[in-house]
Amino acid sequence: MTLSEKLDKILIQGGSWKTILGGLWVTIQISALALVLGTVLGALICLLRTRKNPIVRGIGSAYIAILRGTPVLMLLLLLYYGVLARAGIAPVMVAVFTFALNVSAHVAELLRSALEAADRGQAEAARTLGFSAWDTFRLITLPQVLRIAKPVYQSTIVNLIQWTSVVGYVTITDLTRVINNIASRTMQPLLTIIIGMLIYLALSYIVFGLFALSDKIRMRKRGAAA
Amino acid sequence: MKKLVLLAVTLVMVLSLCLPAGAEPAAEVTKYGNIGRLSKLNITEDQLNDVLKDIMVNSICNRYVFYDTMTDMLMALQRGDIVVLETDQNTVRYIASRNDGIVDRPPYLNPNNLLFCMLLREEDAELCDRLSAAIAEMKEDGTLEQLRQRYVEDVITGVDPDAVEPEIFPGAPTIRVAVTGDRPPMDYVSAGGEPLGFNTALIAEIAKGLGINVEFVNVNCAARGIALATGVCDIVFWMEVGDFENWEGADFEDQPENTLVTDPYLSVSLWWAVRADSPVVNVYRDQ
Repeated sequence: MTLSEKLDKILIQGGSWKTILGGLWVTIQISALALVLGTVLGALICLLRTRKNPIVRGIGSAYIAILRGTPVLMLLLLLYYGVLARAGIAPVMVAVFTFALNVSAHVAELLRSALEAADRGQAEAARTLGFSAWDTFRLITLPQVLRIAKPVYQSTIVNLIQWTSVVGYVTITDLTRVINNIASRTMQPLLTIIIGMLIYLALSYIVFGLFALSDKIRMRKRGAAA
Repeated sequence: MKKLVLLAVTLVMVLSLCLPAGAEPAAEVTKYGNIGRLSKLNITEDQLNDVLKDIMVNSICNRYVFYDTMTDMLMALQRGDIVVLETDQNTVRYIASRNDGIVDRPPYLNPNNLLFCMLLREEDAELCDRLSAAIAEMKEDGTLEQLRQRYVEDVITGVDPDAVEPEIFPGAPTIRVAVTGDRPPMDYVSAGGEPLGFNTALIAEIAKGLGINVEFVNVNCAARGIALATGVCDIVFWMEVGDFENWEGADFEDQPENTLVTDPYLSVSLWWAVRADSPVVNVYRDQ
């Protein structure tokens, strides 16, 4: 069988490409929803983690330690087959919730380190000049935190997309699952997996590209303002 | 003299410690490598190797290695991690028919049959009985053989059937059936993403006769046990080595606890897939 015949069998015959796109869409949905939810949750956990009250701070620390220290697949299995087994929640939503929990711990920790790295002197100067606490945070600290956290956040998104490849364990047909099914049906595992990897790679580079684009736009705006 | 005797005794003691207990002269059978199998539900790789250790002495393979998916196992065969992929003959024939570099061979030792059954939770005894009765009926009237021809033999020769569409019975109960998509032509997923294969067609036919609805749940091969135990699905397809005619009362070691097994609906020989360029192929030529 020639390479083009193999590719035809894997990608074209029987509308296989539509199934691949369907799996890709599931991966994107889970990743995007988990990212949004995880980022909001992560910011709240970061808030707990930076409180002065030792109990509140301890709760934040424990949350981060547990979720960062356990494999996300274990958490997924625990929630789907255990805690939420009888809750009647769709598997995709359980996956979103699981990955949101996992991402929130990573986001909380990266926001905390970004907060610590931000220049405190500028915030103090703003307060001395009469800025309110909220305005100081919004106008002085937050832009610095976002700039510092951005590269790690970008990696977190790419990692999240890759982590979602285990959702096949909870009956979800995502991109990895579709690729496995095609590999089993066509008995061409090597080529099928390479195609799957290229799709994941493209997805990751779209994320990197979006961040690079946002940097470019920001620089252009700054240049225009100057 | 005393020193010499002491030295000799010490040497004997050291050598006896170095040799494994009960060591026998090296077996004459040439070992070519390991043999791959899909993961079992209730038996680990080590347990299986322990059970088969006496048989493996005369085998041309060293030990069994488990893989969670057929894809993983096929890749392992192609890269040489295993020299033999062992599964049911239908699947091996399917693999060989779609891979120029792979040939099918009978097992070198101990030809065995695999019984294809369904596993259910213990509390679903009534459903289990109904399924077994339906299987017996289908064996009698030839439906099972028709399905086998269409969903196994025809598929192996390259004729893909249409996707299985179970009949819908409004208000009737629904059984959730796990499909792994990992064992063509018994259980696989079509290019359009629909569950396909002999198992799927069989359960759709049984459900039609019983007047119940079927919902297919895509379950990872390695998660079948947990999916059944936690109620994510009501039925998983399962197979075990056994005698098709006298299977009742057999002690299936791989059968998970708190499960019931239906009557077997198919018996297929255990078969080997080997690389066409593997030295294992020559073993058969020499015979």
